[in-house]
Amino acid sequence: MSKILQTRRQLLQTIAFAGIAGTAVGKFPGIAYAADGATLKIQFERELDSLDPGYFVGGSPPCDVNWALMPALVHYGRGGGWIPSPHVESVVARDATHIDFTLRKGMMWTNGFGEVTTEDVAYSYDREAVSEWKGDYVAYDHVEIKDKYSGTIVLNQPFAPFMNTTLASGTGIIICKKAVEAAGGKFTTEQPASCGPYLIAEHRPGQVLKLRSNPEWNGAKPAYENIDCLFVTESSAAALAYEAGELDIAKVSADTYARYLKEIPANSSLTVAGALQYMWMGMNTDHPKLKDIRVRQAIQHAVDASAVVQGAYSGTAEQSYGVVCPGLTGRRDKAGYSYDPTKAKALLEEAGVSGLKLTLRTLNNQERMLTAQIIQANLAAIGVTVEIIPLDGGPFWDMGQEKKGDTWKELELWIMRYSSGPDPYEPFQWFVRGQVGVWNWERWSSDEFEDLFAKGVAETDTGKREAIYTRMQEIMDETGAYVYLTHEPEVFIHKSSLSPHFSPTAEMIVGAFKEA
Amino acid sequence: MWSYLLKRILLSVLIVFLAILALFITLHSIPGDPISIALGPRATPEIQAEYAARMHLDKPLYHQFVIFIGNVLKGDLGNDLFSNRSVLLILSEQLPYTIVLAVTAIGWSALIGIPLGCLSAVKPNSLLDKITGIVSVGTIAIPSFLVSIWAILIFSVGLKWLPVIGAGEPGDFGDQIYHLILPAFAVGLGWVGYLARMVRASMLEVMSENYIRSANAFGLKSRTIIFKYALKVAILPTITLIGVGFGALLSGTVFAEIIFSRPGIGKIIYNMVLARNFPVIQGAVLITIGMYVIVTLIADLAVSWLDPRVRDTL
Amino acid sequence: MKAYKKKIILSLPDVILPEKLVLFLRNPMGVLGFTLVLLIVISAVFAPLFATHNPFTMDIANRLAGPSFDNFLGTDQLGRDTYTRVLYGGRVALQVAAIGVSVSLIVGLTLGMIAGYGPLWLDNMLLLLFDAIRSFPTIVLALAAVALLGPSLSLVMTIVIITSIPGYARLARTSTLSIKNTEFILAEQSLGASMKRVLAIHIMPNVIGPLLILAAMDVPVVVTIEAGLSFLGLGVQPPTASWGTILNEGYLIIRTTPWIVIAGGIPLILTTLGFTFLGESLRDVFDPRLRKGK
Repeated sequence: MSKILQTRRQLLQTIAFAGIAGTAVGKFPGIAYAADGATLKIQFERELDSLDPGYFVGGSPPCDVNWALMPALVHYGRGGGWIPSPHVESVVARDATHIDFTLRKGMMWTNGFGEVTTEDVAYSYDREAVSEWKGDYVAYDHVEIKDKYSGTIVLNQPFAPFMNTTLASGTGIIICKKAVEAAGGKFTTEQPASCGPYLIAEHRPGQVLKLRSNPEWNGAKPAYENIDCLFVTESSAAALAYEAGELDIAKVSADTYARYLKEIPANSSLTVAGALQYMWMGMNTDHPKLKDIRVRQAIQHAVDASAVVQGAYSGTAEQSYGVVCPGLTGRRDKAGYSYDPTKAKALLEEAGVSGLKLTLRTLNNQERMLTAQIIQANLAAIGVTVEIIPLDGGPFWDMGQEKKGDTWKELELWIMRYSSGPDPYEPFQWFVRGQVGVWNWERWSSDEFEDLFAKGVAETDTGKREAIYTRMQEIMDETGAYVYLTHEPEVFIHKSSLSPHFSPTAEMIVGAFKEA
Repeated sequence: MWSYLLKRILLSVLIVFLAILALFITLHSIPGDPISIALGPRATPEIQAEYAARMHLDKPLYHQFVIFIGNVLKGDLGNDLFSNRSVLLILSEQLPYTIVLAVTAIGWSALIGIPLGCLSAVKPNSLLDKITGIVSVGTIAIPSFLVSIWAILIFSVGLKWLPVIGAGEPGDFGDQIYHLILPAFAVGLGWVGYLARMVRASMLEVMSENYIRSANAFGLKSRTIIFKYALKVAILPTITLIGVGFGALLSGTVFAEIIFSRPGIGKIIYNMVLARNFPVIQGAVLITIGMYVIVTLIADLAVSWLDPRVRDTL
Repeated sequence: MKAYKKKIILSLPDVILPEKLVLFLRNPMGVLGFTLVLLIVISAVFAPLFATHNPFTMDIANRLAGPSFDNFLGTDQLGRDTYTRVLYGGRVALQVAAIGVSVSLIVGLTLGMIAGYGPLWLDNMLLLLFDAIRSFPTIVLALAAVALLGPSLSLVMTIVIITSIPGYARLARTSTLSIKNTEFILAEQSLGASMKRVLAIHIMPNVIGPLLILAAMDVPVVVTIEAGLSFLGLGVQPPTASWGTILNEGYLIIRTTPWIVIAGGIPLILTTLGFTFLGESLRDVFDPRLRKGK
């Protein structure tokens, strides 16, 4: 569940515009022919609410299943960055605001809606640009239709991440103009027409989504004839099911990961996807109870993040000292505060606060609930009473956004995790002034931070960038609004015979799974 | 008989009406905007506007209630907030799984519990009777969700005999049975005890009645007596018990569905509670109440048909 | 007159009658039940005395330890002592049971007596209300309520109370009906006693006996509801230990260690067994008539 939004976020943060300058001609990696009748069983962590790229609920559907069903211009490649999709002859970025593309001929929509054409591409993107997900399309202007199969995407301003954050993501899906219009302009889980290596053979909500290979598909045959996507929301149930042979791939929780590191089930492999995550506890600097910076600093000093790493993550995560992830420029080995309950108590006393009661909101999964309980115990030790409010994905991701209700006013403490790409500038964009009430739920801003953010993007010298990003993290420390917790990996257990593929956000890309 | 039937059906209708009224009052008595309460915190403005129009929120409350009842009777329970599918359709997909689980659970526990009760009654105070007594109380005492957890621990994790999740492949009957074993075991275990005790008690009572004693005096074999006469009478309390205990049975299936990741009404209510998808929750509550009322109605009617004496009590 | 009255009232004083006590003590199930109940009540009330640790203190270095001399039942994911948490969990269970059962008993008793003693139309109306409430399956009602109002212990208790009132009320009503027309009540009425007085002084002592027995047998139901909801994360909230939350935490890591689900389950079973045995023996001794109905 936690990923619904991260999908959105991370896409905006992924590897910037890789390959736009080069010509990427449609050479889709050769894929082994399917063993007939082979069925792959994978885990879906959440319900499939909608497949409509304009009106997803919360984010792309689980496992970005649209990539196996629908056309797109580009996909995420195995090496990172984007690759041309099997639906195109070529995709070329002519300059900073023009992307030329040519579709393959003879790609047929199901249900007799004819070929995939440039008109469908234009229709899809125009529709996206006014949909609930228009945020991805701020730079999009229009598609110039050259002929039936080729055209040019025109941007209204240079927007480097357009390929990776828009076209390759769930919102870059191309839908069939005629079919969608015939269906009333919108759809949910029943696709009016599709065109991809797989078809939905059956959807039993809450149980299974069955994909089978599309007989009309004239691209490379997918590796598996059938894929059963089983809805299993509980990670413990998924691990049990994997071990019982009922799943071929499942996401594992931290304690299961620790167990598998000691003893892995037979014929199984572990794959770590999307390790660039940073989790922290945020504080609302506007909230009356937390307005006094000494109270926030007291909380910073009271939380033992190493206990979170061990207790909630069985030692499988790395302790965090800032928003820059391990291995990236600007990653620190200590924060501007340290675990010191005595100092925390002194700070509270100085602020003249006693009997403080706070709420702590968190996603309701095993690791976060344990983290919340550790924080609760840590804060109890300095005389702060914490009430934990567990939330499911939907309500959780809405709570700090001013557009999505009034919860942001009541927010006090929360446990948050974002994902990052390999460039250190990416996490900082969520904490700038413009993000207050959007993703900057801590609700602070600083002129120096704004300045440094602009400088950091333009700077190329590694040493100077390191100084900038270190300073920016110091500014974040000084707000008192952050307690950095962990960098946590997303881990999957799967049959060794399977070679899975993941998006930068650690979503399984089922359409590109193959045999190892 | 007809007047009893009429009375009983009227009572059921009245109960359903009261239940809907209670739901309606609850939704309207919680402070705040009735639309956000009925639809939950995650409804988009579009859905809210559509709901307001559909429920005629500008009209007086009693009028709204009439519309509410009318919609329920038409089977219009609203739409899922996210997929926009009809709630009735969603629930009707889930319902069969719950019914199959409940029926299987009752079925196997009746197959074991009724004979156990009979045997105990034939030889009261024998060793078998005492053991049955203890086993009965023992099985009744273990909460069904604990049986589910421990059954997973023993049969899935420990022995690896039985599957953990799902309901099996549709069409593959064997696979479905295979997936049904553990949940049905967990839900039905307590009923073995209930049924054994109930059957034993009523058998003892029946066997002390005149016609059985005279049958005995006529030299009929005791086995014939038990199966021909006494058992027939023992069925009555069993049906009554199922009627009365249906709520408990339903609770058992809710937990089993959640713990075994099995589709069904309980699982969907739980998921929807977590997702704050209110229209589906409301629909599911109404459906379970309806189910409860229908089952108790059938049980009562069956009993009164089998045993005319009951009719006078209403 | 006095002697006559005494003969009819056969509830509370009977409890202390020696022959009944002897009868009760002769019933091994009853004694076992009583012992279990005593054990559980004592362990919960005096939990701090028996506890070996603080239920909230974490010892992360020693997480997920198996049973040992220091941690009788091992530790959980945060290194908290499971044995201690199980002891404290008993407090939550008994608190819910005590409050839930006593409030629903009092309300049920009052409503039931009013239904039995009052005019027929009131009786019918109340009966209908009881049946309507009973038609709400408890757990579904609880899930829906949690969705609306958010999880909390007081919500669990409210639901327990609402759904168990009809049981007591029906029993109280039946008993009231059976003595409503006895001579001494009629005599009281003719002497001009108010309804309140008749109910409180003459009827209540006669109907409360069976209700107390029902209450004993109801405890397991209440404890199970609390544990069940807490297991689903919809009841007691962390860090409070309840048998349900302990089971939930154990279930999540059932493959890593079986100790937690075992430790959380056993007291639950002992409690239900204890109260069931106790209730049934009391019933057999004091009110054999009830046996048929239940």
